[in-house]
Amino acid sequence: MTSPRATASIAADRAAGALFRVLLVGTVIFLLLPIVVSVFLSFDDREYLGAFPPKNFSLRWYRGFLDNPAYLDGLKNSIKLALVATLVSTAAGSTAAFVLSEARWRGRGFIEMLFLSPKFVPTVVIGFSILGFAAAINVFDPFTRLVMGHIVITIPFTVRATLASLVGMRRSLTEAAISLGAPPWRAFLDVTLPLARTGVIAGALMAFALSFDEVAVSLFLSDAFTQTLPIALVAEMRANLNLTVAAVSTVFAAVTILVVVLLDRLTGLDTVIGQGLYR
Amino acid sequence: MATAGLELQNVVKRFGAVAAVDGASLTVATGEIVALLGPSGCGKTTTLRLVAGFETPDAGSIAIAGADVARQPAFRRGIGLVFQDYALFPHKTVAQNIDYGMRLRGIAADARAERRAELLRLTRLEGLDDRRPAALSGGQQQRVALARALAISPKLLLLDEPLSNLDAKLREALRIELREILSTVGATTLIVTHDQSEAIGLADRIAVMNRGRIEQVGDARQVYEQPATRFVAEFMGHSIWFSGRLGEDRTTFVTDDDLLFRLEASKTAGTRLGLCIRPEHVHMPPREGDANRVSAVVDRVDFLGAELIVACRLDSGRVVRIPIRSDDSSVPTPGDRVALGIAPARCRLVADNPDLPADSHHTN
Repeated sequence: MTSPRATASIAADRAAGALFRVLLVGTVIFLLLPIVVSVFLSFDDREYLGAFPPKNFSLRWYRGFLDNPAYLDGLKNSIKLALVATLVSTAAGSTAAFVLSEARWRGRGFIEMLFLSPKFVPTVVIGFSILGFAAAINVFDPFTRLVMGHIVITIPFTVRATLASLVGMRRSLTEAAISLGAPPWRAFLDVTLPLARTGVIAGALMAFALSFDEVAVSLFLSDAFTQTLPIALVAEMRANLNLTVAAVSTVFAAVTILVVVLLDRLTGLDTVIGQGLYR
Repeated sequence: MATAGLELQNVVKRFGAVAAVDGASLTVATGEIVALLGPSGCGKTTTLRLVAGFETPDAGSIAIAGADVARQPAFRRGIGLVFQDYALFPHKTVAQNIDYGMRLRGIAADARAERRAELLRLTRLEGLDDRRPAALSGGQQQRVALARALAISPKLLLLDEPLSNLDAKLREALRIELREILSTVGATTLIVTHDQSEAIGLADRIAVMNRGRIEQVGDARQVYEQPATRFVAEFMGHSIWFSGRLGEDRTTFVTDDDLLFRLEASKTAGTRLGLCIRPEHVHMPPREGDANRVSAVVDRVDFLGAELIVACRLDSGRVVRIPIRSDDSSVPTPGDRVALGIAPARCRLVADNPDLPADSHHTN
């Protein structure tokens, strides 16, 4: 027989469990529903943002997207920009993280803070500063400017993600490799790098996603001829709001998902995360 | 003279103002197993890291098989190092872990496989080639770490607290096994440990380290029975220490709390000497030949299975803990006045460490 108190505590456990499930499902719906709605809207035949769900479906907004050179150029620029920014930011950010995690000197915390600081500076400020800085060093090419800006805003993420994967990594692992005859650089390649892979890849993914949909910094650094997709989108929405925006959003989401899945396939991201760092 | 497997001469390593190793000298013969034993903070881990090449000495020399290595980078020293946490590469299999050092030396695949099979047999790890370290027990991980270190046929093997990460029951069995593997291999070995039973069980000789210096080197019996310093006496097993003055004739010793002990004529020199008595040499009641008698009152009696520990309060108020066998017919009870007997041969004069407080009453 169970005591009344035990029964009450079981009931409380169940209630808490139910509440947790409701919250979880609610959060997922809250996160996904707007995207689902915009996917539906992108196939809507109507000229305006009408009641949901749409009555007739068509591909006219996707045709509109393909017919609009501003969007296509924007997409091309965005992908190119995100790739370059991700590459540089991952290489620089991870290297910084490796050095920082080894560092024992004073001021290490300050340097780490510097690397993470773009996260806390308003993007508008970053955008304007880079614009001024680029002009000061005679860089007027908008793409170069955009790359500079996107490296600045993505680097906190690549540094942070790699640092996180190095936390708790025992120094004895590198020392074991060295004692077995590996010069320090070899120990790094054979031991540190493979074990930090999860963090490096996660950082790269975040950097790509962040760069791909960045608006504020790009707004300052792009010009009329070199636009990113989000900038083209904003401009188009201002000029004539129609459901092409929904179609572009859908393409956006699709590209992002594609990148994540692709990287996952290429690197076995899932197995690495699933097995944990030290398996 | 044959070259030593490992030779440290007056090695000094300072961290800021603190000398972690303060003039340590030690010679390990080729093929010999020596344990560097001491409490945490005594400098033994720093010594190991100096030998391995992870730290550079501020002074002194370190020679492995006759070659000075003090300025040689760690990866060129060819030392097999078994880390306290084993440090197995978590992303590599057992076979890949063992192969790593051989690969770096450019050993061909078939020669590697042969050596690996030999080591897996030696460490009784056959069939575990493709396991990841996480899928192994603590004892197996330790043996993989040992096999990996031995794979490079090291000139010197270093073991850092080899048994400390294992649970108490396993430790005894693995100690015997480890000892067997080490004697099969016959490599010059330095074991760093804070655990005297580990040192006694694994090593041919023990070097007791304290405050960055090596205070005594000898086999387990020598170090236990003829401690060179008060620190060694108190660190190895239990001891009862009396500070006091040695008589002119060098056969009597008057303690600071006015107890008189007769000694056998002693050659021990030095100005600051103390008296060290092992508790198991104290008889209760005294036996024939126990020329030294001390009166005490029983404070408490603790039952520990095979033996009882009788806490006796001397007239000075100091409590000493004396073991007696639990089958002794006359077990005293608290409050009893008892006589303690010690043979003069069992009263050993030992140099006091100037850095240990003179009035401290270490009885355990």
